[in-house]
Amino acid sequence: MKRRDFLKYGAAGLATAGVGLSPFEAFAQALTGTAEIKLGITDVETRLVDGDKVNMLAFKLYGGAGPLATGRVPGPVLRVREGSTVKITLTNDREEAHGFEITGVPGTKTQIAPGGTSTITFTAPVAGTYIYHDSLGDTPLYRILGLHGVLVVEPLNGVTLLGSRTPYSLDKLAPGSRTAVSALFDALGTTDRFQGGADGKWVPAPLTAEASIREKIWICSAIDPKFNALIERGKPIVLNPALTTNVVDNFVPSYFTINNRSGYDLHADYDGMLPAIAKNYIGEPTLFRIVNVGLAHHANHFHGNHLMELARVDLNPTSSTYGQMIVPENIFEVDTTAMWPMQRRDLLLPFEIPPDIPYQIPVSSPTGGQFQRMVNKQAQEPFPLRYVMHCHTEMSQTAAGGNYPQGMVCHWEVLGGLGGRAKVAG
Amino acid sequence: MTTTTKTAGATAAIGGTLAAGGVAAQTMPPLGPNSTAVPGPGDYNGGSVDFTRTGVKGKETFGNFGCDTFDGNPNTPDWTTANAYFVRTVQNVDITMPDGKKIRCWGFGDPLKAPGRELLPSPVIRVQEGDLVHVKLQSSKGTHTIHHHGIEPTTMNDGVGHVSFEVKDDYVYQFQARHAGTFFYHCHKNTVTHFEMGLYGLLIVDPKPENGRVLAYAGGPFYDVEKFWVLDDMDPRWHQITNLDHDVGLCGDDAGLNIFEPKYFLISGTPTRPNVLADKQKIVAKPGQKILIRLLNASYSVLQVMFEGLEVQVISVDGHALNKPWNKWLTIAPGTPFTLPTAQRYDILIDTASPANQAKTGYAHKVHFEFQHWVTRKVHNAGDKMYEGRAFTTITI
Ligand SMILES: [Cu+2]
Ligand SMILES: [Cu+2]
Repeated sequence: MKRRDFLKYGAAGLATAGVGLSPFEAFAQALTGTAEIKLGITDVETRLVDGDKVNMLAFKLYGGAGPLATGRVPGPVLRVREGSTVKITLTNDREEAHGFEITGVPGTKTQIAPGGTSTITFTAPVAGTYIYHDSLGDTPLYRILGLHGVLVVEPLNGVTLLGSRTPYSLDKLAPGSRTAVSALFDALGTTDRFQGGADGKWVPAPLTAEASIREKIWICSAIDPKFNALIERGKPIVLNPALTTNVVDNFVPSYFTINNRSGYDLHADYDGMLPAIAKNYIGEPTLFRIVNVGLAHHANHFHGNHLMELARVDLNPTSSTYGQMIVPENIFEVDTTAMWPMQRRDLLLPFEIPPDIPYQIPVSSPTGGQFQRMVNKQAQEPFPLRYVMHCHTEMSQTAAGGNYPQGMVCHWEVLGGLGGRAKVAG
Repeated sequence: MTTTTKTAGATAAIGGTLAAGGVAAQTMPPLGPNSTAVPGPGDYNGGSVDFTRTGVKGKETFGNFGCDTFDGNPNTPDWTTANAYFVRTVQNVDITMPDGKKIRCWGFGDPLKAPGRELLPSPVIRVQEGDLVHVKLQSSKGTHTIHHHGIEPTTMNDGVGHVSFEVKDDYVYQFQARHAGTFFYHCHKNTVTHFEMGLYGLLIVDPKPENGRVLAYAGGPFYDVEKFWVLDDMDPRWHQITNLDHDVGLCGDDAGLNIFEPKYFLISGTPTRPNVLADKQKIVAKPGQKILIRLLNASYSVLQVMFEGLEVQVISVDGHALNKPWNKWLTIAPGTPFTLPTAQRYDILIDTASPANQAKTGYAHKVHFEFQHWVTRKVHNAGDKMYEGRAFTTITI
């Protein structure tokens, strides 16, 4: 592996806050019942973590700024309100036909001729996390080459009887699911385990933002450069049926990404990129909307806190609810979650005090806990506490056949104790 | 490294239920060696820690992200007296596979209590809820770490090199066990290879006993029979290259670590063959008894599990009991396959007296494990009589 010049980013490249508030003027209309979104399809170049460059295909956003305007993998995070009318106009800058589809949303499948434009209009489906992608010819080829992104549908009736906001339209859930989701989101801020009062509640991201302090989007994927080598900029993809007829069987991924970055390139967020890292205080629960647009089966493992598995897609073809989004009535707390190809999951990272930091010391006759001592600056170990998230199917932790852990690894940070953000803000 | 050769049947009775997963009727599970031959580390301060020599305060660069990771043997910050104390070394283990080949593995050894004890999986760390735990890792031949998977301590005690450090000589990991349930521990250095080599074992947190009985968790079910099923798969190429180079691939080489083609499949250290009963891992229980199976996918495959004939209940996932206001036990009907991703644990309760199971006595019910490729989800080496990724054992009531 080339010791690539990691100073390339320089200080200016480091994102200011990594909150990802993007100038999404295009989406302001989503609030009022109709959303009009204009996307383009174009060629881009991506620099991998070892410095190698590959060609990719990307969505771009008309009216966006920075890389979103010129084309970025993944495509822009689109946010709309449930039940609103959504109109997406797609322009194809490339010399070959492309497709578009939002999996699980009827009426969204279309084709765009080379140099042409196509428009779809649909009603925003039930609240949740969706994948849009190019599925032309029912091959995952264009998806893995970069033509993918996330659509978030915000609920119309997401507030529990006790006033807690949730990511789901509670009136559309089965009673058992409604009870479970309400119990969890009502517990936030109100129990010994999840403290913080009103500030300890989950807060959705603004409709105009890709992500927020309490909501992150992670798009997992993988790259096999021999497929990217089929892309010549400004030309149709090189015909190679031996390779592309059965993409899955020929796919030997060697780079593993979240939001098209891996390893060291995920250790911080940069301007123009879809942010990945949650840096919060205790009592600031954070929603992770994680999807896998790649072709490997991942096992995303969080250190530091267990996460609540809120929603997923039923990917079992023999199931009666195959393909549907399931908000379970049985919300597991997990440290590892199965991210199969085309899985979409919402998980809540509670930002509780990491439970196994000694909480009764001395153990013989406890007078306090170490976390409070850290908050009081009486402890040796400082904030932030940094916890990694990595896929435990560890082949995904490599890049170019080695270089652990330059693969699908990211982290999250505990900046301090309860109410810390307000204290810092003064 | 010292070399120990795995010999069948060497499982000592220490602690009752060991890594090999002996079935033990019990009222009081063996707690971790709360007092071992070596006393707890005592009431002394751990001393100062230079965090700038770790990922905690050191500047993270491309170079130290993986290749030149922070290493050392710092004092444990915020040291406090423990009441459960373990030592783990790193040792070679050679496993004889069904095709007669010997595969070099690595396991954590327990020099205090378990000489000769099976090292694959490594000896169980068993503690009680509320225990202040010290696990001293004595590295040898290069650096290692221990990540107590599912246990959530401070960053310095979490065992991840690039955000903290890798252990050069020794380090005492410190945490206090909060949740009763099934966890595991493993090396998190060049994890892709060190976890594959076998540097892992179960970590079980028992609740405090109630009326002299130990339940699965406080307020949870009692069980008469306990079994550990830890599923693993091995690609011999990986074992060869890792044994030759402990740091294989770390600093730029293409070692092919994105390609994993396992040939061997193990249940709790017992190599298996397709369509041949893994006799050593079978469960025998009496009618009316409750069985608790602690199931871990330690393989790099999608693990599909299927219980024939018996209704089972998942009572805990990843060490967190299904007893919160937002969750409950999950019942799995007989013959229904389910999957586990790498590293996930299910605690599975089988109530032999339940309405669904009470008529099922007198049979050996098969339990099938299928190891599926992480990209194609096809069973490994389909049709091969020796190397197919299938294993089974039985539950007899
Ligand atoms: Cu782990
Ligand atoms: Cu880990």
